[in-house]
Amino acid sequence: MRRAALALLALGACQSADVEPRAASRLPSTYDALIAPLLAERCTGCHGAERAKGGLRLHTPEAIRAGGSTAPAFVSGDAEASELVRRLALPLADEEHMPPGDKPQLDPLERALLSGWIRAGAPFEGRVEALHASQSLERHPNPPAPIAPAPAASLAALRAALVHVQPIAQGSNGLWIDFAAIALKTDDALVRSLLEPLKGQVVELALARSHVGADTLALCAEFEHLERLDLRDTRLDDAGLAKLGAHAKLRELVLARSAITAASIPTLLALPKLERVFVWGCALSVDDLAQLRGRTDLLVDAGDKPDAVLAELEPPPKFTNELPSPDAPPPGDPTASINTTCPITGSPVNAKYTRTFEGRVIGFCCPNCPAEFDKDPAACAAKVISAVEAKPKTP
Amino acid sequence: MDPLSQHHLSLTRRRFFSRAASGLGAGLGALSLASILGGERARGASSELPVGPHFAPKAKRVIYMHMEGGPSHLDLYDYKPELRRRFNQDLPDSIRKGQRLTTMTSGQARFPIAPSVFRFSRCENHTGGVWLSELLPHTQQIANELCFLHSMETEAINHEPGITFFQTGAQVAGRPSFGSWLSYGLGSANANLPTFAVMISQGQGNMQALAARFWGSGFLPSEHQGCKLRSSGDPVLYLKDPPGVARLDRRRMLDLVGALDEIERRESLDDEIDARIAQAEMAYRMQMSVPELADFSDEDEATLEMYGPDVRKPGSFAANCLLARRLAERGVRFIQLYMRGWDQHGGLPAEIKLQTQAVDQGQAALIKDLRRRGLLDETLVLWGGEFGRTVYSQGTLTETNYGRDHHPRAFTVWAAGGGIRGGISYGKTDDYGYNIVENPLSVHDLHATLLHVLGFDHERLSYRHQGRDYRLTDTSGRVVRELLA
Ligand code: HEC
Repeated sequence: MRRAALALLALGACQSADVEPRAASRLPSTYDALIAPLLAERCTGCHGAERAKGGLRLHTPEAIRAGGSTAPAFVSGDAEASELVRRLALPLADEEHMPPGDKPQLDPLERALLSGWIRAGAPFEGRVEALHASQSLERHPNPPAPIAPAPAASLAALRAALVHVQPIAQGSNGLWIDFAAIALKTDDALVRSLLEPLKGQVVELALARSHVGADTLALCAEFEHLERLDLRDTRLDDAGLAKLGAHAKLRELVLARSAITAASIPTLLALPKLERVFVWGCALSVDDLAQLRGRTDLLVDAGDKPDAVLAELEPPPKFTNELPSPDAPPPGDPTASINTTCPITGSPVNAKYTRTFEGRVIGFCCPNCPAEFDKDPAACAAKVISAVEAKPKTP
Repeated sequence: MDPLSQHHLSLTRRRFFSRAASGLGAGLGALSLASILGGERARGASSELPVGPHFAPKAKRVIYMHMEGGPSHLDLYDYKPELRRRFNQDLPDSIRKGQRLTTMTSGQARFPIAPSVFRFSRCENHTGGVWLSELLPHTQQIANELCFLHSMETEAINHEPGITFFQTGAQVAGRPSFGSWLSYGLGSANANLPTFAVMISQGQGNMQALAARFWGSGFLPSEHQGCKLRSSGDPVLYLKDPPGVARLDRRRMLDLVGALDEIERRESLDDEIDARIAQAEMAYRMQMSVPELADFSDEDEATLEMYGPDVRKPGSFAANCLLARRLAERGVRFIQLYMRGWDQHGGLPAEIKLQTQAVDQGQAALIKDLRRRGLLDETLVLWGGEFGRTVYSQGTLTETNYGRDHHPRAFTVWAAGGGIRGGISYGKTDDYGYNIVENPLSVHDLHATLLHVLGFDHERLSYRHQGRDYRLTDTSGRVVRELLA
């Protein structure tokens, strides 16, 4: 949530200066990771290798640079002036709107992504980091990590022991392993025997409610891809946790209801990638928590999150029915007459012939009657007003 | 050829082609890992390897609190103070637009507007606050965790098709339930417990029947169907060994039956035999794991207190919320809670008070409890009924009493937890809470978004049956990215 909000803020602000040269990172470029897949999903069916509606193809950088038959697809650095962005922003019913109204549409985040990319200079190489900040925009959230396939026999051994093992995503060799089914029988020796051969594959490991301790943590320290470790409801203590050392990848650590104390603060602060730690039910004082929270890139959840703020309480409700119904005729135009029949002849009023008396408009049937009115305006107006008010209003 | 051999042959062909197709569709990486994992299957593990998520999931499991009957969005979540100044006015035609009504109110001479009698409070969230009814004091405390979807709509106007639609993505019974899809897609994370557990709490008012097909697996292998945990007596029926049968006897019997089943399976290649073996083995393991699961004696006092006094009554919504947490932490994939009794056609103010008293504290405690244990991050929580209720009164309207009919055009559900943006309100209804004016959300959109959070492309999580590929989202559905964390 935090990330998505940041990304949205950043979309407006990002400039070409944010673009890192591609060589600097092994990660795929913004164009490859985000832009090309989006265009492929929503546009290239009509603007691609096979078809070029409006003379425009969007399936390669060259084609995008070439633009369409009436306009270039984009103006580098200026999203608002870009034909592509303009078309996306048109009302759905507009026949120039893209993709055409009956086709699957882009959602606001996807539109923001294309605008943000053009604003950043529409780079085909390199990364506009702000656009990647929101993971939910990533079409390929798992750039092929250099994880080797797990040995078959070790996976089979896990399954035979009823330990849950599953790839973290299709096509990944990284593993999520959960000991939930046999937690109460799980100890250091079992964990070591099962996981020692999978050191290179474990990405998420859940050992909640088990009996593991220092030796398991020493083993975890060797899991080079480990990102999430769940040790909730274990008897793990400070000395045990310290065995983790300064693990380079660990992002999330669940220590709720474990036996760690303030002595583990240095261990936690030393984990370079740690983003989130759960320490509810541990022997940590308010001051200890404050010390942990001193590290601003670390979210410390100690079960002490304040309740939502109650900002307003409405007064006890009163019921009336004073609001006009939306089906009632619109309140009259102030230049319309209050009467519908002419006070002189009794014929219907013609809107062309009126007199105004004390702010009220009185209507007549022909050019002659206003002159009649002018002879005694007060008396004539009084007659009209009393006639109008006597008539019951339509409910 | 004799019919039996023909049947065997066709099964073999069907299996061959369907396996080959799913292998190819899943991509090479998955194929290799799947075949490694499949190389040696634990005895009694599921007959079919799970599809596995298409991309790294944000949530690993679901707790879905279904409010059977259709809670009134107008008295709980969708704050319309202006309606108080339209008390007893007729619902304007420009709002009703001649839409279909149930036969319970279509004969009414008038459709008088019934403003909620309850007071609302504004709770801070990331989208300028959300107004919640005084009926939900505990839920107010966690408003900053919840993602309120004020613009749900459904096609169904009656309970049975309405629940079926939310559970299976179709109004007509027979498709697999959401939980079954997840079981099929992700498999079990705890081989000792059902992958898809169902618990029912009785409510106060009008209650509709809850049919087992709501948690049925449709055309998916039957091991993916929901397993109902009962609230009194044994949580799972027929789990205990009958008197005189020792656990060892049971083991021997299972081994023998298993060996026979295995012979039959090799002969017929019928998937259902795999499912039967799996279920018998699981029942055997559940004999040990279920009693421990349902025993709250290891919960501390403060935790029990947080769930409220009802937590000590087995089968109450609060007790089932705590049980849901215990199932979640033991790796159960899909936990379906039903709360019956929201069908308040008459006497709504009094009845909804009892209903909300029964759910409010438990559901809020569940969110808090999951959160502090580090489980909320990876658990997707969903709360909602099969539709909302009408702004006009069914039956006589007074300043203190009214009823409301079914209303499918607009209503509120909320989600929280793994992968969902907490603390936001999404979508808007008109001044009458009758029509959606902003960001309509279909049931398919909701399903597509939830599947996305669980690591699935809803267009690719499919199962071939009777010659076509079926999905939870049928042929539509859109991932609503604004709702993603
Ligand atoms: C179903 C087919 C279809 C899809 C999908 C589609 N377009 Fe188009 N597009 C057209 C047609 C037809 C035209 C030419 C008619 C016109 O100018 O409106 C066009 C014209 C354009 C033009 C103007 C080209 C020029 O110079 O005249 C732009 C820019 C454009 N599309 C962008 C997009 C983008 C970006 C997407 C994807 C988000 C997209 N289109 C998806 C059919 C499509």
